[in-house]
Amino acid sequence: MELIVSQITHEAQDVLGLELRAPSGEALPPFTAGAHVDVHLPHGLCRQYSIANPPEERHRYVLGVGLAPNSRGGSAFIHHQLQVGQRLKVGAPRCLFGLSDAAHQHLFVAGGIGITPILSMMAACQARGQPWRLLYCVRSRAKAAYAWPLAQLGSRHIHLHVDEEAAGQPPDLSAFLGPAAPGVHVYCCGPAGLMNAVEAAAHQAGLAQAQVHFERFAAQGPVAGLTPDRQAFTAVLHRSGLRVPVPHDVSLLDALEQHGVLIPSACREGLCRSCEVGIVSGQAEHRDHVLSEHERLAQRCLLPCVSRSLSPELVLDL
Amino acid sequence: MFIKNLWYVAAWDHEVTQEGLFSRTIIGLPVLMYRTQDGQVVAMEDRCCHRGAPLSVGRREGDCVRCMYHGLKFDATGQCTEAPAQARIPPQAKVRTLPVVQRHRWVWVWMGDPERADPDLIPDTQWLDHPDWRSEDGYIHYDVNYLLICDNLLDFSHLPFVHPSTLGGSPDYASAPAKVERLDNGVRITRWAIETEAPPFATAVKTWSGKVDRWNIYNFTLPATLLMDSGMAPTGTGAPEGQRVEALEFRACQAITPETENSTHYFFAHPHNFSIDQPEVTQSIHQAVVTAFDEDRAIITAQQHSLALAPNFKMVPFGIDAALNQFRWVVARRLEEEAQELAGGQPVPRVKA
Repeated sequence: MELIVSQITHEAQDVLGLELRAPSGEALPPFTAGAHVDVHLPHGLCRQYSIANPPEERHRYVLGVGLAPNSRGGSAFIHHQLQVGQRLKVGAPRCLFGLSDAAHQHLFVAGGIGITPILSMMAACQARGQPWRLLYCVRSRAKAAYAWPLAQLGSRHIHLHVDEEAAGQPPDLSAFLGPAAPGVHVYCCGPAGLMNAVEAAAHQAGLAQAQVHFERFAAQGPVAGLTPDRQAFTAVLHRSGLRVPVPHDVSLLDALEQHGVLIPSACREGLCRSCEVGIVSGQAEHRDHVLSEHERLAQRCLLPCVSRSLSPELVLDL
Repeated sequence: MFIKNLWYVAAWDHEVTQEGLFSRTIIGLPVLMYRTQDGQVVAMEDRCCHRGAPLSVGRREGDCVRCMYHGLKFDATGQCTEAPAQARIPPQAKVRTLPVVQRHRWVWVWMGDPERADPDLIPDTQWLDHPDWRSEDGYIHYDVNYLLICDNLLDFSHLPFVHPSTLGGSPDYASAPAKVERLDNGVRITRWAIETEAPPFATAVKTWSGKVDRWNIYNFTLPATLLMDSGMAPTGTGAPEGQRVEALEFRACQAITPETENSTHYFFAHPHNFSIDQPEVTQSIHQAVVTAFDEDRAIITAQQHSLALAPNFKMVPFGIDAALNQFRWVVARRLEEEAQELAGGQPVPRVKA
């Protein structure tokens, strides 16, 4: 769908709020708390951004967009060029991160711009009347986005950890999580380091895997070339006979690695050609930047970090 | 971080003598080397086990070395055999020795678990002392991390740009794509430039009437050893098909040994099998290589300075980076495995790709 940028707000240092509305003013497709949308940007870029506003608000999507360091165009475009009144192609909301229905208490850990989906989820907790707490980790107070709506939600549920003021001490995750209890669910969105630490602390606290939920930060800035129209397929390994299912939202390289097949890789963005794999049969859908036109047509190799399959099965020389 | 369980080139054979004490830091460890009276090379930590003074500023006493701080004497096994004012020497008073092998002019030391020091793992550098081949000994020192030098050697498309007057040749050399094959301990690179200009270092030693077909075929293996079959032959004489007629052939042997995180030793030679009775030819080839490696060092050192100013700089990779990224991947995997072994875990099982 095509939406209008109705408002751009400065939420914190390097964080913009983007309000999107339908040009006709009508209600937007509904979303659940924790959902994200695909935003199509110039030059064929597609980026996923989480929705920050409560799901009851049907007239708008509010997205939080952090300026990614070394941005290759996604967040840099939004921060430096996008203007109110412009139209953007936006996909329907999708949710891989919502509140668990099995939970009756919710613990949120947000790192930086990872606060965006959690903001919406906290509002949903309020609406459900379920208890929640938030640990919000930021580098500096200037980078703490959405301070005002958070303050409105009540500061006694919220603990702010500011790296700059913590003298190098990481947040005390085990104190925040407390002992495991049935019905307590943990949700974390933030940089990989924080999510790994939460994963470890939750495990140590005795929380079951099903009680801990992560929104992988990659959803905020996925690799170039990966667009949402990806299809699931099966990679068949010619030499070992292994069959590796590749879900629509997992790269071929990740799927191979998850099955213990390790291939040298570096950029994982289709730029450096390190992970090249030979094709025995099947039709690759090339999404890289390095193969020549001739190589693409020859269908004898592909870059599994970004490229996929047009055929239901792709037989690889592995 | 460096891989420990590997043979590293620590010296040219002539650098380690029967009279003196020679010290070189290898992956962060100062290593003292000398020869016993029967010619065997000894390698031990260049640090007295007493108060840590370097033994290399000590004194040779037969096959022993005496620390010239407090006078402790150590034999070739590193054991302390004499201490002033103390008759009973504790057995703990021992300097760590390292497995060491001299082979084809290079002195290799094993920096990891001595039990795993298998000399068969040392790559074959026979051209360094083969009677049919000639070369001069090369060594330069770099103030950069060794992986930047590996990057340079794993992508020869820089030749026409960095080395226009030595190894380079015409710009079309850079556009010939290299074939990269994965090895367990590195990569194998095959690069052919068909109908290209003979590079200046080759025109200096042979007259070419026209274009040449040029090949660079090499293994680049851990820790950072380059062994290359390279050369050129007049275009049309069948070099790509395996016929080497009127060809110039070389077998480059290069070993990059990290000194510290930010400094590196570079051992090299460029053996050739033609005009071996003409030392001036050998010298001319060697000088071209030395000049070229100075050119490399200038750009790589500048690169290191540039990168040091921007710790968060993100490189934009290109297809020419495949080999160097694959090699860095092998290095990273091996480091990970050693870290896991140190932590007492088993190496991750994997399906070989």
